[in-house]
Amino acid sequence: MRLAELQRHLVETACGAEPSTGLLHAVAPRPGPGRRRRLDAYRQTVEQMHRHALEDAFPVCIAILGVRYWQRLTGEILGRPGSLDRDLARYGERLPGLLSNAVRERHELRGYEYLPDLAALEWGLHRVRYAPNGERFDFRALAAIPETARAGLRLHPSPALALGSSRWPVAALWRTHRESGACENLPVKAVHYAIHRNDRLEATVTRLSDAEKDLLDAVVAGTTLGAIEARSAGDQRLANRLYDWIMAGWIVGFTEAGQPCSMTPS
Amino acid sequence: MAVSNALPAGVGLGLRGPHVPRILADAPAVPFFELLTDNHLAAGGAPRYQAEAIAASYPVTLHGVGMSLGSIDPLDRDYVGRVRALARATSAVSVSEHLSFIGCDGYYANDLLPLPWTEEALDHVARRIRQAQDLLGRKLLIENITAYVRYADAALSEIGFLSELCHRTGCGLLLDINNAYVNAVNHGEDAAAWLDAVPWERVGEIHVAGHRLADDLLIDTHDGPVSGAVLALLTGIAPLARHLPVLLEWDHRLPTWETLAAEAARVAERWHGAGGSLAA
Repeated sequence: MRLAELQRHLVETACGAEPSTGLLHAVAPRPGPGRRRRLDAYRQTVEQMHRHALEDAFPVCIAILGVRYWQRLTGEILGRPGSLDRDLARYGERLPGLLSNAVRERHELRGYEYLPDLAALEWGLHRVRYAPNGERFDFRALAAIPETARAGLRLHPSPALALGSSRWPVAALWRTHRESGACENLPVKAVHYAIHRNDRLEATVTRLSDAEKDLLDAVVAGTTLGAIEARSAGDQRLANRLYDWIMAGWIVGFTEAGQPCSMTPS
Repeated sequence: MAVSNALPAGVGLGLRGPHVPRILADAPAVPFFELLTDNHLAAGGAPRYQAEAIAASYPVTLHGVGMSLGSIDPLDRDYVGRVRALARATSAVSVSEHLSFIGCDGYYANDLLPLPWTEEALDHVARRIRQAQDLLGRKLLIENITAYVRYADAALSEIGFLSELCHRTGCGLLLDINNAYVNAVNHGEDAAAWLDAVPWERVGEIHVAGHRLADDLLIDTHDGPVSGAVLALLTGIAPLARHLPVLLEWDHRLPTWETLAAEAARVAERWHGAGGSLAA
């Protein structure tokens, strides 16, 4: 069997497929365990590694559902292990979307309708934890731009910033689980939130008002500074939030009108 | 040509996140730390801060799993570039990878899968190691992996394959004694004979780790202390490898710092007792 063919067959088998006849023939018989058992060792280790990756990303979801049910559920909705990314830390990105279907379709998940939103929050935290810093906001370069050209600027959000919303109090739920394990006195109102890194470089969640979320959404969408200012006209407190977010590292740079945007909004 | 090695002799430790605050606070006497490359690649956040903070106080090495040197897919230049940036940021003494592939056709098992020891695979991996080394601007150390299967059409032995890679690319070897032992037991081979055939002048570092018996196979789990059999093999090679740094890997079921440090001391005592060098 040629190298390419061998690799395809072995990856498929390691990710849970039945070993092909060709692969079984390519494996030499050895004393002790048979060929299928040896190939199955890869399936087991791959499964275990992907399970650990999910445990790293979704600890509160697991605490709520219990480890055994979590493993069964994710095994069923994710299907065979394996990933489109070489980085195992990115395994699990599809899970919040798949959980949306699961809570609609599975009677045992009745009462857990908030779970996809909680998973999305946890995925955001996981992503922000491993995100690069992005550039450092260059105030000197900003000062060099003529006043008349500033309305055309587009701000760059940090790669270590994620935004979300939920009609469930998932941010409070997450925080409560992290801090005490108790789930009392949660706010019942729907909330918007930003996920970012704090001074200790930990990924954390900050609640946003409707207006703040609108403003940050506009930044992420690449709206010009002029349009953003028009949107917040008359609200100096809101306009000041842009400065706060720059200082907090949520906004890390800008592009002048006519320049290609150098960053992909998160 | 011997592999140059600026690491201090002695038994180093694989760095794991939960231990970092303790290490930074207490500055324990560890000759060097190995960073799992893939955990620290993002240019920011706590993992990168930890890598750079540790590198400010200790010699470090980088040990990766994501380069997928044996894969039929094109070498990921962006990934290699990020490894190079991390190596620069941490002044890494060495950069190592595995003789394996983790996926193909853009789909990843994220596990170290074995290559056949054929001429076709040798040409392919040698080309990619040269390419990676050019991009990194330095030589790699290549590690022998645990392989639960042997392929029927092997034209070379594992050591023959590794030696030829060194010859063709100038790379060095990272010799994992635990992997050699696990393979020997699982395939009914002789680990001591395997070690006798190693081109020691090409070896830059030695790894030891724990394994676990799962029914009828030894599995390379890195989740416990080093077995007596692996320690015996380690002490057996001391006369040939006394100058080499040894690294203890413990990745899963992570113990307390005290337990890990005690295990490193146990390995160091055996290594030193057999003639291996300890850190100054």
